[in-house]
Amino acid sequence: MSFRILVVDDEVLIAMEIADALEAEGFEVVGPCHSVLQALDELQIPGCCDAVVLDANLRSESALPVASALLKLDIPFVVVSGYNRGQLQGDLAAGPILAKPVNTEDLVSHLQRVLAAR
Amino acid sequence: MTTGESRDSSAGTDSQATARLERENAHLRALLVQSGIDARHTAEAVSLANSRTREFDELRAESERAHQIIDSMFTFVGMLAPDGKLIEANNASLAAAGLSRSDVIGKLFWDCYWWNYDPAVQERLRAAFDRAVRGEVVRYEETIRVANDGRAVLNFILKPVFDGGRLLFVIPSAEDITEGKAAQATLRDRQETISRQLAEINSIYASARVGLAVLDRDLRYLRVNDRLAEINGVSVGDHIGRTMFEVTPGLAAFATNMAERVIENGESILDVETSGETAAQPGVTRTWVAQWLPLRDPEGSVVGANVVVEEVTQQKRDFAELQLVVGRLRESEARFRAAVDAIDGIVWTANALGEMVGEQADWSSLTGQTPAESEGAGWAQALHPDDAQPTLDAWSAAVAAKAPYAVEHRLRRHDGQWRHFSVQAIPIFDGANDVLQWVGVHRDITERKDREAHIELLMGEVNHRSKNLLAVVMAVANRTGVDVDQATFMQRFSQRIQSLAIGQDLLVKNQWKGILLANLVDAQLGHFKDLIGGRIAVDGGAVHVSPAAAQTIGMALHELATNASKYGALSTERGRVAIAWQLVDSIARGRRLIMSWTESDGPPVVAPTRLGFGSTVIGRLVKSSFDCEVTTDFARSGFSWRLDCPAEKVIEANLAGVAAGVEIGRELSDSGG
Repeated sequence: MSFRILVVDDEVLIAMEIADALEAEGFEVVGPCHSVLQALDELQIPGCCDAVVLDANLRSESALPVASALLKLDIPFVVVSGYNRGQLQGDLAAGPILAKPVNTEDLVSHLQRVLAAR
Repeated sequence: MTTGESRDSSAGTDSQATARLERENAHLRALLVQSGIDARHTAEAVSLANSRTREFDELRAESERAHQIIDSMFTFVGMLAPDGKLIEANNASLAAAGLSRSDVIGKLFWDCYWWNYDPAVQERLRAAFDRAVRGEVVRYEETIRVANDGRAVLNFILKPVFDGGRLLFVIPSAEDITEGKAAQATLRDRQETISRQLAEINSIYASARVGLAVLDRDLRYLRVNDRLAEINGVSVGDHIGRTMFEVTPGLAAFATNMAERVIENGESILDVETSGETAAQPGVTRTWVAQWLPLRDPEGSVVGANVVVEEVTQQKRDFAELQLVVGRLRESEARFRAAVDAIDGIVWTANALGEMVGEQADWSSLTGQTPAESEGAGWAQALHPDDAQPTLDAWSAAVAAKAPYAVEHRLRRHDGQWRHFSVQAIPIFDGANDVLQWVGVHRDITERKDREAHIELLMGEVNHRSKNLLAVVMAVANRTGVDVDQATFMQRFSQRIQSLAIGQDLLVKNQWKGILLANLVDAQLGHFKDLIGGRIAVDGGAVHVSPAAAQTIGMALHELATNASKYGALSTERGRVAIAWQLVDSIARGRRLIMSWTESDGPPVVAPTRLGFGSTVIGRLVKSSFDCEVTTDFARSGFSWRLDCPAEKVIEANLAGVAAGVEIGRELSDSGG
């Protein structure tokens, strides 16, 4: 069975790109979600996903609450961000961080690693 | 005795004179003690010294006169028989002892009243008489008894008178030297005293640290001390009897004028400054302060001039130097003030221990603290609680190290507003290592801080957005590349990138604030812009859309225009496009933005068989971005596109401007993003 990945990115085109890339690699994509609220709603559903690709900044809003919720739910995640690592704090810095623009191979290998470490 | 009265009165004058001299002496000594300190006092002392010298001379003359009086005053004359009996005695001698002739005539001389009060006196007289009888003139001093058991001292002479070899009689004669003796003794004492004082005065005169001289009416030096000789570069001896023109030609004209005025008017001229050269230091201009005083004789007529000269060359130089330094200090103070004013800072001071002390006008007007409140370390009360301890730590360290101090902190201004300040202070040293005080400056850097924060925010945003944009470009490239040849890819891709660039320009121009939909339409229509108002009708109110919405709508407009120019209304000369938007309030669905693109009069429309990137953009991308409904209609009469979305998804939430951006930025940089 394939892993379910929730994609969270406010830039719709990017979210689409990521979703398409993951599907091509055999993942099942949930979402994409484009805002913090949307993502938190999605996470209400038990077992909604196995891992998350999380944009650190969603429409000028920090994705920190999403990261915190994921840590609580024990769902692994990979952060993608236009910001430098130094600009990310707290729970957002808990997982691997990939700089935008993201290379699809990098994203997939990081996802596989966090999924394996579950 | 006829001369007794005059002697008494002269003795009275003497004792008064003595008393006066003693008073003056005390005065003189007091003045002399101070003479090294104050030249004016020295001048007074010198004047007195000179008058003392004159009095000494008077006294000597007086004493000579006394001697003459005494010499001419034979008061006692008698005649003795060879056996020693008194044959004759003059009235003066009888009157002095209160005797009558009968009391003494015919009696042995040594048994008479004058002598018989003491056997030793009698014995001396008998012995003297024996010697006189043998032919000797005997002289000796003896004390005899006079009236009322008084005593008188006599210069006593026994002179034998012979006729051939035979003694006729012996003549006793005597002068009363009682008063003279007393006068002489007093005179001797006073002469000694005055001589001693003169010696003292002369020694002081000679060694005084000021130059002293006495000039006679002809303006010749009568007297000069070593110091003045040194000043003039001419020995003491070479002064005496010479004029100032001979001794100090360079200064003589002025000095002579002074001396003449003093002698003529009999009034002192004090604190006269003179500059010039003397033989002591040729070629060097020196400065002196002189006191010119009249010299008077006992009658009060002016007989010369006293001058007291004090060299002030060094003081003068020191003073000039001091004035220069003061001038420089004033200048530097003015510069300092100007600098302080220029930097718009407030200045405060602290003592060597780093405590604020007393009135601190600038500080008080900045913080509203009273001097009592800012005293010591009270100033820290005005600091932001988070900044107080680090500031105090840094301050203690600077004070301990006596090293310049620089911090930044927030403090509450008198109006309650928190402001950022840059603080600098330096220790002012007194000597090598002792801190006299600290001087500090507080500069309000709140605006700079705000700018810095804003720049920091913008830098972060630029980084974030440019990377996001690159990700978008990558997506566009990926999508554009599906199933097309290289040439088509390059054309379409570059057009899409151009569209993105136009959107970026618009955002930058508007500082990433809301963009008017009308401007967005204008920009994205590119070279079709000229058709606006003609074949292209644009109709919509002033709606500001957010930067993110502007990018999405901009991409959609670009794809719509591209499609229209390739296949639709803009591919012919007659086709028309109507672009319209409006905000609609609905009770059920809230405020919504409805935007449409309607083509007409174009070629017949054929629905595409395959959906490319353009379709994705105007459909799925817009739908997902705005959480909305998108309708596309390939009606034969003309293509149409309609967007109906919640207004809050599209419209700029806050048009308050940069401040709002800063606030959002703070949130971002605080929490990451």
